[in-house]
Amino acid sequence: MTKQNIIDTFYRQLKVTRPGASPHRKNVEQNMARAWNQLLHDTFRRDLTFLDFYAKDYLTQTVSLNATTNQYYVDLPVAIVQLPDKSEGVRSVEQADQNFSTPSGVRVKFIPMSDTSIKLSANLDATLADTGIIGYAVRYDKILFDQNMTAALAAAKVHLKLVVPFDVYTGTENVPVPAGKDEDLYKLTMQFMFGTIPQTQQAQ
Amino acid sequence: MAELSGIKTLPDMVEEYLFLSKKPMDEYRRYQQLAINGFKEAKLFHLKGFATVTKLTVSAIKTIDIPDDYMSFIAVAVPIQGQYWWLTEKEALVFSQSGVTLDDDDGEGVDVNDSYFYDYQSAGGINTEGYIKIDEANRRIILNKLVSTRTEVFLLYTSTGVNAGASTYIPERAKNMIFAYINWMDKVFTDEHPAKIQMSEKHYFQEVDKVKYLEAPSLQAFHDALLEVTNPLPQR
Repeated sequence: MTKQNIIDTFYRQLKVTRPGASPHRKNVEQNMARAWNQLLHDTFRRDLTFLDFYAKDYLTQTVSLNATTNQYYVDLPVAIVQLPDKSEGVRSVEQADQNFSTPSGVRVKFIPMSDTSIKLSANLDATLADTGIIGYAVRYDKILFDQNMTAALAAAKVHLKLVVPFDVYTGTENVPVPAGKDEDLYKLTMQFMFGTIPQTQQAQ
Repeated sequence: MAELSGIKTLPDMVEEYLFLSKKPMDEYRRYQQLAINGFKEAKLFHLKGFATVTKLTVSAIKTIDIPDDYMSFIAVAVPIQGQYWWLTEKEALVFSQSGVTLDDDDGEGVDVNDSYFYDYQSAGGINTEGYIKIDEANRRIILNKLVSTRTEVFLLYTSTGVNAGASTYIPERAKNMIFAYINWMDKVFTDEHPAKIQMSEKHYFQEVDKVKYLEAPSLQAFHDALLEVTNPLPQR
């Protein structure tokens, strides 16, 4: 279902549940974005690997070098959903030119880490032994890479798979609502807008 | 039909472990470090065929430098007729006090005497190829005066076995032992319940036993050793 369809459906439901209400479309979209974040968090917090399906591709992102700290980083092209693990809404970082048809085509692997872990592990055997394993930490609007990122690898750029907030989708884009959670999306949006408790929670 | 490779790289090991144990990727480096620790432990105590041999030049003050990848000492040897002849470790060896020259008057670098006192308690046998003293604090091994023709010796040691920036290969037979090590140490470091730690420890040593079974000397080696120390007997 496209983002446009989801919002239209919300308006149709609103006519039935709150006949007099006519909120601004921007207001609906903002509250739906809040509901979307909570929905993803609540649905997948036990196993975040299922979130891979909800990640959007951002191909060939430029890797830059902070000349002061000599640390490579990439600016997040869009906002991401915050999730309870180290990679947050960054579900995957890959080399932009890698070839999945052979094992050797995947030259480097990117692994999520905390910023502290990157610092702690800088001199560990694990970091020094395999320079093809690059740690990354997600910080606010950036992805920071550990010392194994090189100029050559940075030049090849990276491919990001991001779980993005509802408001990042364009109106015509399909928004993959988790199976069985469509109704929850509307109820949560309603709750954020009018302060009503969704029926499912009232029953509990 | 080609068979799959019997050697694994370090990342292969870690990825197989993460896959089997359903652990998340954000623990990759921690498990990679545990895998390296497990491999080092296996090299030090359980695996055969991992000795590193390097030829080193003896310095003017009769020392050789310990290489950077050195973990544990095996032997210092000289080659004699196709075999290594081991130099003997002797704690009492006198070494250069100046660190620059050898002072014969103080017994620095001189030949070890056979039986200083000639009476009934003197056994007398010495290793004519030389003696060594490990001075690990100063990253060196001290030798006594070797036969004059030798300027080089072989150091056999257990290296870390972990290549920096290149592939590190681990034999398939050691895989389950290293997996068991990771499992065990993971629980130790994360303060798991002692019962779980104990179970994992037991599992690890079961895997060690399996590897040690494969590493035992062969029947031919025992036969050869027996022939080396016995004289032919008349047929009875």
